[in-house]
Amino acid sequence: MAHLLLIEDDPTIRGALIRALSSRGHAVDSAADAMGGLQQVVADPPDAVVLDLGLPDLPGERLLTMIRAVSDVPVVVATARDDEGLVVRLLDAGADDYVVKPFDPSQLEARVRAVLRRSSGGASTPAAPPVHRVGGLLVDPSRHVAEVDGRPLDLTPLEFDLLGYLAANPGRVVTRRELMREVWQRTDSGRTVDVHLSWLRRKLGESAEQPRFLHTVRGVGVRLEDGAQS
Amino acid sequence: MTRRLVLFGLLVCAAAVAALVVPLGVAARDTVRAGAIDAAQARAQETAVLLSGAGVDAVEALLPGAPGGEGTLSVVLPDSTVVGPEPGPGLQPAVGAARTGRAVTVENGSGVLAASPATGPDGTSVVAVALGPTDLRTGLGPSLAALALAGAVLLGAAAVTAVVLARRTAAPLTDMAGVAHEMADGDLDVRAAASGVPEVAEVGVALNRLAGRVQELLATERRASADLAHRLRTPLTALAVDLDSVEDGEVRARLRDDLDAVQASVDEIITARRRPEREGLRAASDAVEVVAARTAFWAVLAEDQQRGLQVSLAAGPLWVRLARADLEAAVDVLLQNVFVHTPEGTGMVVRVDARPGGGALLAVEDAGPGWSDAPAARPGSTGLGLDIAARAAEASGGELRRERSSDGGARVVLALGPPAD
Repeated sequence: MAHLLLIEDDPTIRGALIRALSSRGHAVDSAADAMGGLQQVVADPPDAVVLDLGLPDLPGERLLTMIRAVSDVPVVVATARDDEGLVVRLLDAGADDYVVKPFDPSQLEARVRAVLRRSSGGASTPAAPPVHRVGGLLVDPSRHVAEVDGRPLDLTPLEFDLLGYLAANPGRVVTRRELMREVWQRTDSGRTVDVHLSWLRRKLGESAEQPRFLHTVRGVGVRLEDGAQS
Repeated sequence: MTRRLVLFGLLVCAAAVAALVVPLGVAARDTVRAGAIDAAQARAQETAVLLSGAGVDAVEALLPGAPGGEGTLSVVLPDSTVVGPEPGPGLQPAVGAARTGRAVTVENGSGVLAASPATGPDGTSVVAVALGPTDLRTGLGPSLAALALAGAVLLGAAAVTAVVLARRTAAPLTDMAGVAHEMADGDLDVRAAASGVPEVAEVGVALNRLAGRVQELLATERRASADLAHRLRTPLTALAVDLDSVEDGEVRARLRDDLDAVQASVDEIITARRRPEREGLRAASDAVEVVAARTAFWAVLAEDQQRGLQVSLAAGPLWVRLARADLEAAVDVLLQNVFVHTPEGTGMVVRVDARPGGGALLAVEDAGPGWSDAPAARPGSTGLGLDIAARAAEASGGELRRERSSDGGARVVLALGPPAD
């Protein structure tokens, strides 16, 4: 169980997120404005902060800077904007991760868990994310390395994230929509995922007709497992 | 501009020099002429004094002692005999007038004749000095040469001054033109140096103010876009979070689909609203290069689905009035439409051709079942994708056309306009 501080001015979202995160076993404090949130960070340091950028008394980016001045607490920013410039600024300002609105509680919680995992070893020795092994496939997020049977793969950042997510969920059929939400943080219903999966197949050395790792479940999604071992 | 300013300066100066030198030249000519005539009259009078009192027999002996000078000296004796060279036309009137006892000067078509009477024991002789055209211009050449030299020096000085002034005037304008082009290409932080003549410096100040104002407007646009995204996506977030508490999985999935559809529309609205941010002041991208890149990206999926993908690109670049991101999105929509709405194995053709009048024609066609009876969309489509492409085409000054391919499938043509000059 983690102690979370939710800084969100919209009472509907605040209430619903408190219920959703509490039901997942977290202790959730909340603040409706920036100053209240900053006071709670100082007075009762949480394990992680979920920070909405659109606050009534202070821009969320300013509050993020102020929090960083007094605390190393992990911060996940919730933003309605998804442009790269803003994301880079947020990460530069000290955000540990971000989630683009609209999101569902499971998305948010997954990111909170990830930043808690990274910070659990302390600021000086952050815990390394786990290495995923699926048969002959290895994905090591901390080193940003992916290998098939010891052969390194040349992947784009997006392809690496896609493979990493599938490798973190081996044997489970992952829907296209889930991949869009978790990897792209979007909900487009387009075929972008399919194209990236096709590219990934080529780099994994397989084809749609003769898959080894990426098995398409028609009409549902894709499942990652090492077909050479089954 | 520099050349025109120099040319203008030279023309003005040449006119001024001409207005000064030509009257001076005329005056010099008149002065020389008047001097020559005065000298001829004096010579005639002095010779007449020398001959006065002498008989006609003594004239020839006395003439060598007469004063010299320009022109030809002749003496017309009382019996009209001429001693010396024939003075030429105009002799008789002058001689007639001089015989009355007064000195006269007569001009004819070819020169001037100065005549003075010399009274002697045999009657009145007439001393005539004839000046030809050459005699009347003696000494004029050096004066005119001096004037021409002075004019040339003035013109040279004017040319140098004109070049310096023109460069001083044009250089800040050239700099400002460069700055304006940089601004048009999207760099709004660049500023013009407000230098040069006051009017030109004022243009620089105005250009800088304009750039600042455009920056303010774009910042306002960005804030408005951010506010719009916040206001639209925040209630969607509340819905998404509330959906989590719906216990019936089937209902939750259905509501989630509905929410995704709403979110896709909201994303499109926000994306369209941000177009000015993406475009800056001048939207331009190479249709050939972008379509080549996007078809290469989609080719792997086409191959996985056993689709024949033919790509035919005109020689590039073909510049169109769209930010690269917007053109990429439009191309992706057209290609994605084929993948979504036609069975695997269906072939597709992508063509890019030059558009008459500038811009490009992008055509994507397939051998699928074609359009449904409903004109706006294929079966099962929300039409949102084609709306994105249509808006991109319209933003470029073009249009989207839905047609039927030669195989009976669907053909979408994006007519994309050229960038603004």
